[in-house]
Order: sequence, then C-alpha cells, then structure tokens
Amino acid sequence: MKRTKRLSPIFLLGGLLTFIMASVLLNCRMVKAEEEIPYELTVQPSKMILPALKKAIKEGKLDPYKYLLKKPDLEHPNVMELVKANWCQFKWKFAVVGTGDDELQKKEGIRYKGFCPICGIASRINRRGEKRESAMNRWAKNYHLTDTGYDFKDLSVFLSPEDIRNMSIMVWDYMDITKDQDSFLWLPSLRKVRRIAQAEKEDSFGGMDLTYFDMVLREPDDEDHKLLGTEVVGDELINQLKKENTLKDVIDYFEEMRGSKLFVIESKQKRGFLSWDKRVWWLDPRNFRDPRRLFYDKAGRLVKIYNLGFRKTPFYWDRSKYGWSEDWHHVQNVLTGHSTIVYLPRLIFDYPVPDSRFTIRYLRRMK
Amino acid sequence: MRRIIKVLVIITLLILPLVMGTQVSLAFQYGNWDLGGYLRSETSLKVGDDTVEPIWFENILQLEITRHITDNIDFFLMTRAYYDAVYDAKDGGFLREHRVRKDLRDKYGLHRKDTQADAIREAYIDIFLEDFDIRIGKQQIVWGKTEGFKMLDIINPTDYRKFVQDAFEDSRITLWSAKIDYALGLNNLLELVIIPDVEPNLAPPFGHPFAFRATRATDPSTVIFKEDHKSWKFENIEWGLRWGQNFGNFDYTLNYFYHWTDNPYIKFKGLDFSKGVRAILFMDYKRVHSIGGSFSKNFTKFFGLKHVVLRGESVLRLEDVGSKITDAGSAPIRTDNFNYALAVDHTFYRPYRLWPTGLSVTFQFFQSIILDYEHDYINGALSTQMDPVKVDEVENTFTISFMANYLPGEILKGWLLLSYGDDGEWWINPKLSYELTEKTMVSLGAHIFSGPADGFIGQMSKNDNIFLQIKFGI
Repeated sequence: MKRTKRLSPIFLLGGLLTFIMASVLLNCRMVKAEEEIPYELTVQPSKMILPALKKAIKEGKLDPYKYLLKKPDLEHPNVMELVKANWCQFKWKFAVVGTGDDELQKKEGIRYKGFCPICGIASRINRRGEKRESAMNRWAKNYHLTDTGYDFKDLSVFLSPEDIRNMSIMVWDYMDITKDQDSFLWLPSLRKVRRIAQAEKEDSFGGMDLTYFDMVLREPDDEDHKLLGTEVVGDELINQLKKENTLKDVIDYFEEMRGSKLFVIESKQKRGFLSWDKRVWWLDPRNFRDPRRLFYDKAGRLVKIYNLGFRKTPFYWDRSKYGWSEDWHHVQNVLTGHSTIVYLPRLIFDYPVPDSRFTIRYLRRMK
Repeated sequence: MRRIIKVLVIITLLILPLVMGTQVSLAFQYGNWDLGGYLRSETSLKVGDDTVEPIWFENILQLEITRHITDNIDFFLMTRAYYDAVYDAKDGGFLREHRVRKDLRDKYGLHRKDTQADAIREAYIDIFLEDFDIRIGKQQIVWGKTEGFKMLDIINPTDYRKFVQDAFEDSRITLWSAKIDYALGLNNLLELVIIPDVEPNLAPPFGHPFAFRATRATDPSTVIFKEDHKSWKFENIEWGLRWGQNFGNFDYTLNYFYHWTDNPYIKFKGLDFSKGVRAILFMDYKRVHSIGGSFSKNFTKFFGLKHVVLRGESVLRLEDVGSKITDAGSAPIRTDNFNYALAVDHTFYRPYRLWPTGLSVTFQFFQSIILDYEHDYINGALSTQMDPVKVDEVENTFTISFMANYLPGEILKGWLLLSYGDDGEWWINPKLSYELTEKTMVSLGAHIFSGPADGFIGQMSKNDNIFLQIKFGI
C-alpha cells in the first residue's frame, strides 16, 4: 500500500518557528550591525543620526563619506582607501555633529549664551621665542543629512587680542567641492558684515604656520599618494620628536601610542599650487588620524614640521561615548624658525548648536 | 621744531611703559561683565605746505564695557577720554593766529558733544528675542557694502576734522536712536531705524587746517553763522527701513531712509552791525528721501580669476540740497541725484618678493549723476562768493587698494590706497602696520592729496601729512 506523504503540522509549525527565530536572530544581528561603528572615529555619529547617515551613504548622497562606516582593509592596505578614510575624519571632525533638532534643544532647556563647544588658544612664536597669543570661540555644525547642499557651517569669534576682539568669521561650506565656500566677516570696527572671497589652499590661517590646506581645504585628489610602509612608535620616533623640540604634550601623545603601528604615506601635490612639493605623513589605523606630517620643497629640503596630539572627548549627549579631538597642534616652519601652537582645551561633540547661530543676524550682535 | 620734538618725546615716554609692559592686561571677562578698549596716540605732521608743522597729537583712551544683564539683555557702554595736545604744545603755523580762539581748541582739543570726541561714544541696551533684535541708545548704524565713500552709510553724520583720513568707525557721530531687526526666517531680515537725535555733519571751522574751501572764506570778522538745529520733536524724527536676504553666495538689501540733509542749505539772512559789519548766513536743513540697495556676490570664477567677490550699492536721493549761481551770488536749490558703486575683491596668491604671502586687491568704481542737472549748479562746500565752482553732471571716482602681509606670523602689514577722481584729483594713502607685541600695533603712514584747488580732494593739496600711530589694546 502506497503511503501518502503528508506534511505533518508539527513540521509546519517547527518550520515556521525556525523561520521566525532565524529572522529574529538575523534581524538582531542586522540591528546590531547598524549600531556598530567599524573603528574609533574622530567624531562618532550619534545614535540619533546614525540611521540617517547610513541611509544617505547607501543612497550615494554622502558617497565621499562612505569611509566613515567602511573600514579599509588593513591587512592588504590600499593607499587611496587609507587616504580617503583619513580625509573623512579630517572633514567630519571639522564640523561638530549637531542634531539639527531645535525641538530637542528646547525640550532640554539648553542655554547657548556664553557657552561654546570649541574654544581655542593659538600662539604664534618667533625664532626669539616671543609669543603672540589669540583666543577664540567656535561653533560648527554638520548639514550632511539635510537637503540644503551644505556640508557644514562654522562660526569663529575672536576673543583676543584687543585689536580683533569680537571679529567673527562665518563660513558656509558646500557638499559640492567645486563650489566656493561663502565667507562672511564681521569687524566690530566696520560695523558691517563683509563678504570675503574663499582663501587659497596656501593662504596662512590667521597669520599662523597652518594653511587653509592643513585646516579645511584638503581633498584626496589634490595629491598622488604612495604607501611607504609602516613604523612602530618607539624610541626612534620619540627621540626624533624630542630633537625637533616638539611640544611636550604632543610627545606625551606619542608616548601613549608607543608600540602602535602607523602607516607612512608620501603625498606629492599634482598641480603645484602650494609652496611645498610633497609631504610625508603618519597614519594611525585606530582612528585614521595623522599625528605627524613633514613637508618638503622641490629640492627635497624639509620646510615644515606639523605634529598633533589627540585626546578622547566624550559626547555631549552620551558621556559614555567619545570621539578623538585634536588637543594640540604644533607647527614649525623650519626655514623661518617661526612656529605655531594651537591648543583646544575644550571641545564638545554633538552639542546642539542652533541654526540661527550661523546667520548674518547673529554676526551683527557682536560688539 | 625743538618744541615739537620735545612734545613727541614726552608722549613717547608716557606711552612706552604701557607698550613694553604688555603683560599687564586690564581687559577682563568676569561673570556677566566684559571690559575691553585701547589707548591710542596719533601724531600727524603736515608736510604739504612750505613748513612742517604738527596738526594733531591726539590721545584717546577708549573703554568698552558690556554687562550681560540676562541671557537676552545686554548693556554696552563705550566711553572715551580724549585730548589733542597740539593746541597746548604749539603756537606757530595755523595755530598761532587761532590759538587765542577758544572755540577751536574746545571743539577739537577736548571733549565736545556731538563729535567724535564725545565722552559717551556709545551707550545702548540690546534686547534679543526669538524673532527680534532691538538696540536702543546711542549707537552707530551702518548700511552699505562699499568702503571709503558714503552712499548708504548715511544714518550717522560725519565729523570731518581729519577730512577723509579717519576710519569711519571714528568719524561717525553717534546718535541716540533705536534699531529693530525682525527676522523672517533664518536669512531674511527687516530692519527699522528710528532717530530722534538729528545732527548734521561737523565741518571744521575757519582756521582749521581741514576747513573746506568755502569755509576758509568765512572769517568770523565778516560772517556770522546761525543754524536751525533740529530739536527732539516728533516731526523731526528720521526713520528708515532695510530689507535684507542672504542666499549663500548672493545677498542683497533694499533700503529707504527719510532724513534731514547732513550738509546745510545756506541762505543769506542780512547783516549784523554788533561788531562791525558782518553777513548773517543761516544754515537750514531739508528733508531728503534716500532710496537704494546693495548686494554682494561670491564667484568661483570671474573673468578668468578664481575666488572673486563682487559688491555694489546705489542710492537715489530725492529733494537733496545744492547751490546754483545767481545774479546775487548763489542760491540754494533742491535737486535729485543718483549714485552707485561697484567693487571687486580678489587676492593674488602667486608669491612675489613684494607680496610673499599674497596680495589682496580691491577695485571700486563710484559714479554720481545729477538727474536734473543745469549748467549753473555749483558745489556749495567748494564755492566762495568770488569764485564759484561748478559741478559736473556726472562725477567718477576710481579707487584701488592693495594689502599684503610680511614677516613670519604676518606681523607686518602693508596697505596702499590710490584714489583717482575726475579732473585729475588724487588721494594716495600708504600705511605700514607692525604688530610690536600681541597688544601693541604701531602704524606709520601718509596722506597725499593732489589736484586743482577747487576740487573736493584738491582743496586739501596743502595738507599732505605723515602720521605715526601707536595703539595699545587693553
């Protein structure tokens, strides 16, 4: 007698349960993956904006920033991937990630007045050791996830010296890198907002040994890049820093990195628009930041030494999380003996800066 | 000359301890108080005539105090101690004949209300609301986009004690007024200004080196001036509106200002026989409508140049005042004129020895057109009864300025302004500023005026001068 094969309800139920369980597990893994950041970003996107960020990158809207969420292969490193990952950190860190949620700010009862998420002190030091100090407050906000086309908006207000007290510079930067930044200068003595042209990459950043290339305008395609190899932070590198009279706080950061492996990359500029010809820089694969940069001219002479120290800075909303902030910049012009130290004693990520902070109306309030 | 040197040495000795002791800072930010300011000493030597003589030893101590009363209310006070030592240090040259005249010293040597030497330079309360920013008190209100010429920047009158040499920040006469900004969205702003405190421009009187050509002919022994000063009355209030929008790479404003003329409308009112025979000239002021606008635009590329800013402004003045020749000499008229300006800013970054870190260049073109022009129109500030100066229907002025930074840390700044007007008038202003310490700036410069003696710039061609300024930020 031929037996009819029938699906047992138990099998059906079991299959269904297995499917549901698998889906749940799979879904959980997916959700978990959504929350994971592949490495220690300079500024980790907060939970509030992470889903929107991932969505935008997936849709190609934020393609240049894909290395925020995609870790380059460190076993078989591709130099361009390393450079782009570094660029993502460089650009992303530049703007403090705001939530853009004014309602949230109101709910939290945040008072903005007199409070600044970034506070900086810059010292220009001549070869005789004479120091000229200036201090400023700064607010910045990312606009990547809006449809406005802005990359970020930034406002710097100088607190000293007296000659430039309350001088303010507001910058609107665009996702389209072919489009110039819009910059507005408020000079209390002029009593009006003056539009200023975008600086060139080589232009000094406020008389410092830093340039706009160093601070804002660097793009991966400006240079041809070559991976020279790796270097483990050890006595040789640290002694070299000491020999160069590097700031103790920066050396301390390298001491913290002792034993870490850094990538060494050579980048040669393509278009000859800068006073130096190539730079050699060290890349930390933990956070894809570059704590050391050496600049050479066409004759191969060392012209500028630029070292940075970083520190872990907790988020404003979630103190258990942190990002890497630039604590110290130490730039030495080898040819002139002039140097610049920038210290950022306070930097707060994810601080809810209101949109109204980046307007001409706000600039005109300065006295 | 020995006396000049003596005074310069004394001033330098007084200032040097402050300059060298820059580590001592008076500026502080404590709780809800901010204090800032500067001490500035400027010495100018007139070199354009046969003799070299000082024209000012100006010393200013300016204190700026801000009190944050609440999160949304600030009080701001800018106060000045002012002393021009030239009137006490020199009794030769232009000062000898007028040293005895107290009014010149009082007007220009010490504090005087409604000038740039007012002890209370600014004093106002700021109220910041969600959509409104309100500023009430004595203040400067500035409109316009161009620099060096006043088209829309006409809210505050001008103190011409240094002709056009002063920074506008200093030469503006501050007024008691109210400014209300209303934000319609993030980047749109409507502004209302209300000014009950009406003041005209301050033109240096007879005897002053920067007296205008017409004033030089008004010797007090032959002329008496009387004035219809506009008092604080409702019907005298000046008011204006400004609408502004910012689209990122382009922004514009539309402006309207209903005001009194800043320059008087002079009428002959008869003769005075109290001290000999003197003509009575009556200075009257008329209502004017100024309607204008301004814009600025950012260009990634502009005629082959990268990163260029184009700025512009214009103003139509209806019922402005002027003068015309008559059989009896001259008579006031009402006239309409249109003024506009275009400016281009660009920085050349290719390094040369002359500008190792780039050269910032600003080119400006100004044009003024009298719309109801007639051939007998004359310039009231330049014309004398014996020698009336006709005005052209169209006046053009070009200015080009250069700025470059030198030395590591950019502590030396070079500046050069060249201004050329119709009829061959030149104004050249070179200046070098050196940042001696982070708080001390030393500037050395010159103003050279050239052109026919009956021209606006040319009338000062004997007033070429060099100046030394030491500014110590506190």
